Amino acid sequence: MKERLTLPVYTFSHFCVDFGCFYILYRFFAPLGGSVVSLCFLGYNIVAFGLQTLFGALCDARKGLPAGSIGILAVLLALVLSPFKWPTLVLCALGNALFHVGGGIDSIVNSSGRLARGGIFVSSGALGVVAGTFAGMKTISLFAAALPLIASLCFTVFVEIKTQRKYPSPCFNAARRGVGVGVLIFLALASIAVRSYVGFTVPMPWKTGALLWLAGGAAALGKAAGGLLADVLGARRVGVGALLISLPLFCFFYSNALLCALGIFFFNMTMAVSLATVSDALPHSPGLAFGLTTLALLVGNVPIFFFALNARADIILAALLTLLSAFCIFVTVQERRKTHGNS
Amino acid sequence: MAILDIAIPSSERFSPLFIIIGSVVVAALILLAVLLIRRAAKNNRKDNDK
Repeated sequence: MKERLTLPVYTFSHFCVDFGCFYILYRFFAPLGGSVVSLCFLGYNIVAFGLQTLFGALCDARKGLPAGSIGILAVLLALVLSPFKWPTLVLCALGNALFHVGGGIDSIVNSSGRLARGGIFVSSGALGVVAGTFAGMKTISLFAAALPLIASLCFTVFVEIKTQRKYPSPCFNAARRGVGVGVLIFLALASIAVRSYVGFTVPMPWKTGALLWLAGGAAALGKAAGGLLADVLGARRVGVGALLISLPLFCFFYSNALLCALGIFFFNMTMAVSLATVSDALPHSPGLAFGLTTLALLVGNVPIFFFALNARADIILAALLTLLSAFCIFVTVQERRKTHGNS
Repeated sequence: MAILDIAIPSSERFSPLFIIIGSVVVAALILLAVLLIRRAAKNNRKDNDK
């Protein structure tokens, strides 16, 4: 009963937390303009995505820590403190990191070995980012922005009170046997980092205005569908196949909104497979496993602040890196998933 | 782990300040992650041996 309840609660709360964070970023920081904006986004990304490894390890050591509720509370506090720029930014990034770890642990430990749960939990964040971006740009009131966060805090506190302090070690049977833990983690994270970089660099000139919803919707659907399909068809088949399908859509149709969105859909299907692979490598450390995947996202994201290539070079590099990511998945993920269940 | 790519402003990304801050902080985070992985792997081995 409890496991069935936590997924919709964390999925809804994920939407609300990302909504709140991007509302803050676009309402209070984007108007600052110039290099300050980039510094804000870089700082936000580093705290929100880089610290999940540390928070994840902390939650593994102190099982039952209500990281999700604390995270939402921090984002709410950031909204209240919005006149104070930097404390707001730090608080909302810390809150984002804490919430993701809380929800991520739930999506792993209550998965019963199924990848779908991780995909569904993560999917709503993409929609929250788009909704928060629009809400921030349209400067909706603070109270209106806080309402979904208050609702999600109530739901999350309720499920975290009910959460047991000792949770099972999940086994997705996604990671290939016989590959060393270090190699497995390195290749799985390299695959994520490479995809993160590719996701940023493929030029998508159509991705403005209302079509942001198309991109966010395609990413959200892709993440959820990837987990669901991996349970049915097998993790490796879905992980490698989806990337190979996305490659021509990105390379040849990046200026076509519909076909490129289809590429985004397939590209994001691999997310649940990577999460399951890292989690299998660290079966007693779900928080750390989840945090490592977000650190890999950050590692792939940071280079875009450092250098820019022309569109043609971006496309060629994206194609090569997508192939590399597919190869990493091929090497680290096993062909058939044998059982669903906890070990 | 929401998609970040739709929300990053494209202006003023490439100053040396970003490169230095980003590189140092991310390198420190990677180092921390390696230490945490080693510790977790050691604990996992202990748990498996029990």
